[in-house]
Amino acid sequence: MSAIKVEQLHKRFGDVHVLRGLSFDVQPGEGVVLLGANGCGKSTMMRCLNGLTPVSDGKVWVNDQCVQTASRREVKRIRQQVGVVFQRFNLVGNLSVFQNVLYGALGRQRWGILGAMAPLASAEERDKAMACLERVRLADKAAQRAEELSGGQQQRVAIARMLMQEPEIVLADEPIASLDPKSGREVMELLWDVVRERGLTVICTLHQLDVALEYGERFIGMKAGHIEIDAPRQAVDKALLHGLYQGQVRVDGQTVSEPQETHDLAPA
Amino acid sequence: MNASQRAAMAAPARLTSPSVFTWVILVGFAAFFIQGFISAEVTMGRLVQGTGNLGSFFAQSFPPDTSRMVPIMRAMWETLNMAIVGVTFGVLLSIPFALLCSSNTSPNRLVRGISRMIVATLRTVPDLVWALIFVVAVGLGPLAGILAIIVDTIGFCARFFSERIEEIKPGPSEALASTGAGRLSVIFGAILPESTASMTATSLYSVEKAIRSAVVLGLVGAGGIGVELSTSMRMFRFDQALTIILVILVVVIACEQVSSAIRKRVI
Repeated sequence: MSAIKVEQLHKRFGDVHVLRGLSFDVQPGEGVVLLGANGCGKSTMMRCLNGLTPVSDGKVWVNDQCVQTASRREVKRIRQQVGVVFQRFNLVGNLSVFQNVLYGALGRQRWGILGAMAPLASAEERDKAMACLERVRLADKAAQRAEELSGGQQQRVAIARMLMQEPEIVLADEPIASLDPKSGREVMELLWDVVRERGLTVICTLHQLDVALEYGERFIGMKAGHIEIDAPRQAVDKALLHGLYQGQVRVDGQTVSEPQETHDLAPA
Repeated sequence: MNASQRAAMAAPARLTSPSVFTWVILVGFAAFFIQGFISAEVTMGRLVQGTGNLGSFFAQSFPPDTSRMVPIMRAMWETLNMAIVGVTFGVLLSIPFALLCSSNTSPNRLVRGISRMIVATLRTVPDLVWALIFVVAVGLGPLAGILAIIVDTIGFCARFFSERIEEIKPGPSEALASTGAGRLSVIFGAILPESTASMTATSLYSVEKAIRSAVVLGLVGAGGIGVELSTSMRMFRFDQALTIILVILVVVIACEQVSSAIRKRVI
């Protein structure tokens, strides 16, 4: 059984052929880092994995269940198993941190939102949410509004929300791209720790090659909608990964981008 | 293009002739304006006479007659009641309408099209016309006014609520959907909380709007202070009318001040 299996995945937005036949397989417990220049289709691919974006062709299986043929109800159940950490945190800014973490439990509530509202949630779920906040060391901020926190703290709240969901698979789409180097490191370390201690499968897109090489166990490199590299840690080095950012990298044929400068991200 | 070529190009003309479209609009507007001005039959004699009449109106209305202060205040109270009750129902009903009208929350395009049409109709027909219709339906009195305000508020609020809902960032909604939440959970968990502040501000503004319209709705018999005002005017009791106008002025300004003070704290 594989945690995620992708077969001949195609996605077109109008005339732009974004994903051009991706196939790969992720085993349970694997830690995959997904690399590629801006505009190469990484984010679109991630969104296809849990059905946020419908695919044009091809299939995705999550825990051996096909996302494309699933009913709406089944898609919800698949999504419950897949926690997502977004680049822009995506917290509901004017609600409390605690409420945002409780939202992680939305998928398993029988009565939807009613079971995941701070005043109505069961004592069990409330305790669980506090435990998740404690894990990201933000229990003292529980009552604050999410938008009052710093970027790094907001991303930690998002990680707590992901933990609250109790997923088996984690998709992290550039989780540290909108953070400064120092808090980015902290968040990355926290994310990887919680994922490892629970033995979760993870696919994480990154822009910083140093960070990627430090955490990744397996590397998938995308270039212009194709998979260019798919290799374990031992088989890749920086030079190989740099190749992902050279030449025609984008799916829409726009100008070439450079890899992000990474030396400032070295551990302090 | 090299430097010499660029230098050889002339600067744009000082004046350019307007396009045909601009001409058509200008001529059409001028024609309509002149015809309208003529049909109003503005003559020097009428202006002089009007000024005189206005003078005698004020002469007769001074000093304001305060002998009927109690019924006037009661009518004013009724006006505020109508406004508050109408706006409360109107705002509550606007939320489902707004959700059905917004491209990101509406179940499908047909529902969206129909609900947008309904809201547009409610908004386009003036509140005074609604009041006339409801007076026919439920008879004279504040109920007709309340119904007119409800309908008018929906036309106004549902549109602004839905614009706000369409503006909010999709991120938090996607995050909730990613946890396996259903559509209603996403709406109540992310979309409505994200738009609360702006909705509150819009609602407070519509309270101000409703108080102003509740004042005039009485003119067609839909309850409130307008009934008193039209009675006084028709009986040529201009001194009473002036009292009523002054009361309206004070109350409406006070309400607007309170409402905008709250609005400032919300935003």
